[in-house]
Amino acid sequence: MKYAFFLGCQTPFRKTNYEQATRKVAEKLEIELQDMPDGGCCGFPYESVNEHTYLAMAARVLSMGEEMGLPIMTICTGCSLSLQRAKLAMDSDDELRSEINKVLAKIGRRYNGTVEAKHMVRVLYEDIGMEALREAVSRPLDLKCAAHYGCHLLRPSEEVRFEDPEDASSLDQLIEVTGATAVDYYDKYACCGGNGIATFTEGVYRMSGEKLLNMKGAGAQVVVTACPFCNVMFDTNQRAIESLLETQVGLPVLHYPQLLGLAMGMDPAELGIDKNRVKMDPALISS
Amino acid sequence: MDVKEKIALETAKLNLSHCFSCGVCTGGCPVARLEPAFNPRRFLHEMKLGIESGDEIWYCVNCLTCQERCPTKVAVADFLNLLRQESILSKGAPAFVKAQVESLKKCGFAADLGNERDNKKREAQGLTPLQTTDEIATIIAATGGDIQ
Repeated sequence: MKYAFFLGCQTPFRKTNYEQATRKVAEKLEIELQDMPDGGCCGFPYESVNEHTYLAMAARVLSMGEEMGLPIMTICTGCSLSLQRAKLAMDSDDELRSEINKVLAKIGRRYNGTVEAKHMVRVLYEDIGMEALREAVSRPLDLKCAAHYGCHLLRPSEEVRFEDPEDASSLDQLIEVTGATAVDYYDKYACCGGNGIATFTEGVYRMSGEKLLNMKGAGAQVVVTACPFCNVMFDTNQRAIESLLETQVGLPVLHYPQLLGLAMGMDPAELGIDKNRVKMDPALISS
Repeated sequence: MDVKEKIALETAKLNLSHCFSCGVCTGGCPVARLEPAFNPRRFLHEMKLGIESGDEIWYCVNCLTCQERCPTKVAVADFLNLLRQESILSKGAPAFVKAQVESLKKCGFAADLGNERDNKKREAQGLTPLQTTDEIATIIAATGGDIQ
């Protein structure tokens, strides 16, 4: 399996350990990731600024995948939705696609509609498959994990075309393949609030704080995320959330490939787990 | 083209006229639960009455729950994007949007990446360097996406 690896902005800016863990795990699973060093932004920030700028930015990334002759893999749910929505809009509207291609012509590019873009969770779940992952696990984990899907992996379901956004199980299955238990918890498919961080700061801390407390209440020992921004909310901002809510949470947060890598026998430092903000008790993974 | 005209053009595309005011969008909204001033159903009615909504339209966390659950398939979250686009044209963009746009024009990423300092940090972590691109600046200029 071979993919064009689109990083987006949040991961290289704030969560390089997510990229690090993804690369390590992919290598061991023989998933070849080809770099897109000038990949830039997926266009998502422009959805609320200018529709055509957004579409042209996403089309640019899609055209890069076409040029490489590879499907695109993202690790940010925002990026995957941004690319999927733009693809759907342009693939179903020839007039729109030709308008956007006029813009792309200025940078010597063209979008033909021949490329797919998908999130790493879907690459693992749909392309690699549970069977192969099960075989790759050499150190089954004895952990209780809470899956946080990330809104844009699932919604809007008509455009994403993956799972029921109120009853998804892919990330839970990906957790359980490591030997860990995926716990159910109240409001499991609720948002982390990340996108409102600049404008509704206290509110979004309450949103992610409530979620963390729901996870903890259900017995989770670890939170598992599949998006750099969700991870910022739960890990990076956990201390700020604790002080706002005047409560102790203390839940370590793993990027999914960090969890999988541990179960594949990799060292925590190799997976960048030492760079996570909320420290994880080594006893949790010494089984 | 004023706000009302432009939104009228989008009405069909986003199914805005399907709304029968059931309130599911607002009932399931995680922002509305914490901040009653944020009310997607009200924003839709304000638009229909030609009233400009307040700055709380920027509280949206873009979780798309409203759009997912709407029984008449109104593209509620896309409508909120449209309101924000219009708000930028009439009142200017919030500081965080301006900062993102500046960064995109400068390096092609929404954050300061691809520079020597950042690439050194990446190298130390065993990661390959990123490259800046001016293609995004060209796209922004060609689509009228620049904001001041």
